[in-house]
Amino acid sequence: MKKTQYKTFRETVYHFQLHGRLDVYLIQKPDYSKTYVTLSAPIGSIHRRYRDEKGEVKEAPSGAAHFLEHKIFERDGRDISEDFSLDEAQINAFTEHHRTTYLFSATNHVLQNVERLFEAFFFPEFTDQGVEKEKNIIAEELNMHLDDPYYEQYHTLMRNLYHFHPLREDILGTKESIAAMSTADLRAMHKAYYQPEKATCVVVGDIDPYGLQERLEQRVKLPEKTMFEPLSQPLEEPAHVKKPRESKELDVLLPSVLVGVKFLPEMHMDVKTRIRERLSLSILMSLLLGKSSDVSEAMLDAGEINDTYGLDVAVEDSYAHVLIGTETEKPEAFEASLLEALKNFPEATITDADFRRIKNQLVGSFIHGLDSLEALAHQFTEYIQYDIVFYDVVEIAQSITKEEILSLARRLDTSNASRFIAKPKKA
Amino acid sequence: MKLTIDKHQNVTYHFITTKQFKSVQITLRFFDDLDEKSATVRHLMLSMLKAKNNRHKNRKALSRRLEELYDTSLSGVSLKLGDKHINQFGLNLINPDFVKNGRFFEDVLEVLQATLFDPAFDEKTLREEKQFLKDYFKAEYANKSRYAAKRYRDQLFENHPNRINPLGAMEKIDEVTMEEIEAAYERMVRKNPLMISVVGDYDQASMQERLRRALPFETNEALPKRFFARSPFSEKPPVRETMALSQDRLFMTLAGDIYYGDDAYFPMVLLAALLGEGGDSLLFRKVREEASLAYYINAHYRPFASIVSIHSAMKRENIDKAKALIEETFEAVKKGDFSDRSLELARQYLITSIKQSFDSPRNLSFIALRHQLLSMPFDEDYMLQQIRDVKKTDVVEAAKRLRWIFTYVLGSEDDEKDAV
Repeated sequence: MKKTQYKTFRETVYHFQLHGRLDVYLIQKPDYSKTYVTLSAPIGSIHRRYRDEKGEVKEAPSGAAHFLEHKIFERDGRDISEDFSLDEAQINAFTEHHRTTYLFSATNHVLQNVERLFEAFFFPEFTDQGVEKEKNIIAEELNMHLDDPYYEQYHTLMRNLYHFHPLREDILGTKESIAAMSTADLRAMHKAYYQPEKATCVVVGDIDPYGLQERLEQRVKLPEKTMFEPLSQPLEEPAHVKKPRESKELDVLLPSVLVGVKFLPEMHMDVKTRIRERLSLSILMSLLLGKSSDVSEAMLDAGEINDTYGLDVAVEDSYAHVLIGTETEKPEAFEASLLEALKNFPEATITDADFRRIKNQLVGSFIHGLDSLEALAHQFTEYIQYDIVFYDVVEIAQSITKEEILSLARRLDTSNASRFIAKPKKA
Repeated sequence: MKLTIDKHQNVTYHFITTKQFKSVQITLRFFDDLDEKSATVRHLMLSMLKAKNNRHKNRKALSRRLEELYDTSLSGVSLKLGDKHINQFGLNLINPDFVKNGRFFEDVLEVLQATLFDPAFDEKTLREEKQFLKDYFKAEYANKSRYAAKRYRDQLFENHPNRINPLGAMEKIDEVTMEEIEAAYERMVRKNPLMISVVGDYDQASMQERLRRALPFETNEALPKRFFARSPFSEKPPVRETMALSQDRLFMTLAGDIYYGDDAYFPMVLLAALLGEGGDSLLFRKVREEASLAYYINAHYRPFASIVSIHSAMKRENIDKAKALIEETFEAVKKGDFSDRSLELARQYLITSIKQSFDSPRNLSFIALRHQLLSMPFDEDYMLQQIRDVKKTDVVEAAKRLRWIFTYVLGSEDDEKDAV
């Protein structure tokens, strides 16, 4: 058991490897009633390929990771969420592009519930009947999203930004891929991706770390090693976008515009550099386009944005982009102002005071985040996959120089941008 | 964790001290009566106050100041509690112990002080906020689940205070004048009953003294004693509206006579959980897990109106099947035809939720409000005991006091895109 104290933040993290195979982290939170526990596997919507026990390369239908997420808590044709509930735990799960997370928050019987979560995660029992029944439920989940114009906007933009990357696919899959999913697909994907060495468990709460370790070592079994292997998609994604512009009449009353600027992360970039780049890009975007920027003020004065204006930065192993969006009656003017700001970014306008201010903001935002057990567990998981402890992220961010930010700004290429406008239907 | 209530110049202070949190949350709630026009004015006024002030001359300057102050957030939201309107301001700052600058807390309080006492009302900001509010209402249409819920509420709560949106109404926005904004502001800071809560790890005496000094409210009225009227609902014919949709949205309504704080209040809370709160509820099991008709289904008890709303979404051809299943499930509950295990699952769901609510600064502030205004003790054990004491027969009796009054469907049009 390794214990690390982060004195600046008055927090303590414990780490051990369960049976020498699975990383378990405990973040101690004295005085909290609830304990929040996550168990994550590195399988998201962008993962579909695997090698089976015969060495053959196979591909599951799109939406497989999400379908698995729906079926993990089933045992003997019964949903075991009831067992958690009777032991004061509420369970949930979600699938992202690059990860699936199972979680519960419990106000009692934490150790028993952790054991139960491991059991469900590693030893699910898929049945043909259960898989068939789930197809209708997932189809209704997809229908719910299909009625959302902003959902369509996001997915169309992804398809226009990327030529081949599986980000183009919906996390839920398609009507056809959901219907085509088989029990064999789910079993194979589970074997390939739900391996103890690749999973991460994060426990946040007022729990005795040694009691947790002892109980898990005694009671939790892990699956035997398997010949199944996860495979990443072969990617030759070009730097340029597939389609720079698209507009579509959707069922909205106010036009909505989403602009994406694509970067290609340099292949073989080491993970520490990638994290640094992610943080640098966030700082750059806050300075340049954030709500306190000159650009955002000018766009507001020109009536090109409203209070829905916002931006999001994604930098992962195989993709990186910035998304900027707003609802506006002037979508074209917004696009023009935005691209102009990115293209002719006046470096001199970023002062040392601005830089200090944004760093203060980063530190504050980090400390605020420590009060949410949920946010803390998810951020911790996000960074630990790169062997970075979340509590060290502030220090990395603090060490980023203005010159690094400016050099990143010079790499921004607005010819790699795509925009999608959702326009109201004509009467 | 400790709650201390203090009254000064008619202002009620709730000091909730706990070592759990690394942030300190200060919340101010100004109460007034709820009507459509004044809600619109009050919401616009609140939005203008949090946009800028005379010490932070524009939105950019205020945003930059807050960023500088370690991501302090200044929020302003309009809420309702029964038939009262609440203008709520929130200030969320990191605990000053993290900051070397000894003036940090004073700097943060200065922002709050400027927001509340040094407003910069001007036509440009009013125009912008009116536009934002119009855009907000227009965006309700784009999100079909939200739009369906709005249409449902509009019809169910016709002529009932619950119909009023605390943000106001689209058709009232253009009427609002600067004079009305200024008058509403004066009324808020000088007359509106006010409650201030502070949650976090701090020294109470020092906090009390600093807040009294920074926020010199002197003439505000006492807190209201009554928050809702008992106005029974009569049955309404079902409504089906249509638009281009992949999935129909279904709302079914039970009405009764059990309101907040009544003897049967906790049985009603347990009944709603049994019916449709969480993945172990009866409706979730029957409609989603057994019949695979829907992705979600939930039941929600509104104790100020004595209404239980059941909400789900599904293919058009499954609507009747789902309605029948929901009615059948409720009839079974009325006859006591449900297992002890189902009741225990609902009870555990509530127990877990109550315990968890004491881990959130926002919830703690609200629990203190409920304690003060609605006589619900600020005591986890009290609430847990109330839930534990509810018997199966109490739930059945509560169910018998409910009747179906209204069904609303926002459905797909004929020949619209085929659902999956």
